[in-house]
Amino acid sequence: MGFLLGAGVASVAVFCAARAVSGEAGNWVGQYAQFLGRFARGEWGMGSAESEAIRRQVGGALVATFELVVVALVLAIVGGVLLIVVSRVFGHSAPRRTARTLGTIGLTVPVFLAGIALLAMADWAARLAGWEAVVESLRVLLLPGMALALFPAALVTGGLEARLAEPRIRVLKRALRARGYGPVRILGWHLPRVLAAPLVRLLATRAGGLLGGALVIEVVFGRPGLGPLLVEAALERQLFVIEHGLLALMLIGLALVALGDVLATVLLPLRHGREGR
Amino acid sequence: MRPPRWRAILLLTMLALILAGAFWTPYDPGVAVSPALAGSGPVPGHYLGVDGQGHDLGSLLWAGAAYTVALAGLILLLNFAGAALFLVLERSTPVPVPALVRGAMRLAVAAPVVLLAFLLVVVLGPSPVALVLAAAVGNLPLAYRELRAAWLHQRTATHVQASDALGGGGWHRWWFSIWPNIRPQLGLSGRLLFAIALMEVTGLSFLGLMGNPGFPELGLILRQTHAEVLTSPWGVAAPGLVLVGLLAMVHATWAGADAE
Repeated sequence: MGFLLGAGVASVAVFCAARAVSGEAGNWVGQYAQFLGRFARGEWGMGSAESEAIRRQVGGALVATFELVVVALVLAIVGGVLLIVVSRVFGHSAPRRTARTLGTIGLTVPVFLAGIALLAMADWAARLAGWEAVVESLRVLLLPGMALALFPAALVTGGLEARLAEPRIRVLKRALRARGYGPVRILGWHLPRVLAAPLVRLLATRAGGLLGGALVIEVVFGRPGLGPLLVEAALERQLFVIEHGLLALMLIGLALVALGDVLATVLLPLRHGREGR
Repeated sequence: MRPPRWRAILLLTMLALILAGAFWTPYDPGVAVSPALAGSGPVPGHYLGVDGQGHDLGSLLWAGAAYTVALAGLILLLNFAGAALFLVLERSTPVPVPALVRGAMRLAVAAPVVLLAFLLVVVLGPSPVALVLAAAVGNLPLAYRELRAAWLHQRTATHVQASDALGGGGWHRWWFSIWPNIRPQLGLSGRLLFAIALMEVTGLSFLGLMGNPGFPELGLILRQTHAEVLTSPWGVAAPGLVLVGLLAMVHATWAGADAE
């Protein structure tokens, strides 16, 4: 059974020594309170492997990861909404089939595999067409963003399809059409005001998963974000990098969920829209 | 009318066949049986080809799929065991505990499995145990919610109240009234959780958090081969296709059962 436990459990002495280095004293509740205080003050200490300050290491990587998450969210929302709008406005089944395929891919292709496939396709295209420079620049942000956007895009299309099929929304569409509004105006202005709140809430509840996926995608594409930093820190058991990095990531995740909730409440049509009255 | 069970039977048969790969494969997946044919495509004797190190690719993938499925199955068992434990705790303890359990589960939803895995790898070292524990704890809120919803729905159902009125004891009520009706719902939730566990265990081992356990696993195989995607595409595509095939199989039976 030894192979299941791998390199072995870190001894209590290792953690006590780490605590002694950080200068925390008292029982574990007191130690944790001291740690949180130092975290809030930005005194994160020095990494054990490198002499670079942990705050600078984690802070720089966090910005890169956050950038990737934002790009993926924008791609997912724009792509998902466009697919639904095109399929509804023009009545083509191809965009709807694409939306369903996207949903199936999101459920059956792990994010790292999607990243590898996208990377391979881009490299092949670069070799065949001689677009090495273009692909190299796309690898920085757009390709990882596209790989990460697959699952949220599936959520957006699935969520919108389900909402558009609701009787209340169907009645609203009929009423708007009866007032002489065209499909572009209905889908581009009136329906988003009704559908935005649940969509924002749906995406916000998946913020944790999206951040986790971003860490994996960064490793696949070799982006200098939190993913490679935390993997290296975990494998080398750099406790302080891990605990500060994870706490920062958890706080961002919770902040995104809270922001999504606030945004969804503000966007509720009953608050200011005419459709909800 | 009872829903047809053939999808579940087909899924279990396929999983049993895949798991057999942990005990027997045509070639030893840990031994480079044909170094001279390294990186070749399908040849007589090696119908899926030979990987870059000279292993028979078919044997490697079969064993890899078996260990991946076994780890995901273990995670699923721990998910339901933990969820049942927390449900019992919530339903049978005095006032502050149920609220604490529900609050903890609500908070735990926000913690991605990968973060738990980093923490456990720091404490336990990179190992299959660390990954299984991370996925088991990370998916616990989802399993708990599914189990709780199914339980509450059944607990207030008329047939359970009738059993109650007829004087059926707790065990009798559970075995004859609740369990037969809760089972299909748990089957669907189990398939969803199993697919999630498959994705998580391969993703985490792809990151290198499983260490080098001495057995093949699909995420580990992809970790070792993905850099050769341009020079030896089949060596990367084959484990990727096996993984997607496994997930598609689970998804198809899950979606079909949902429709039935």
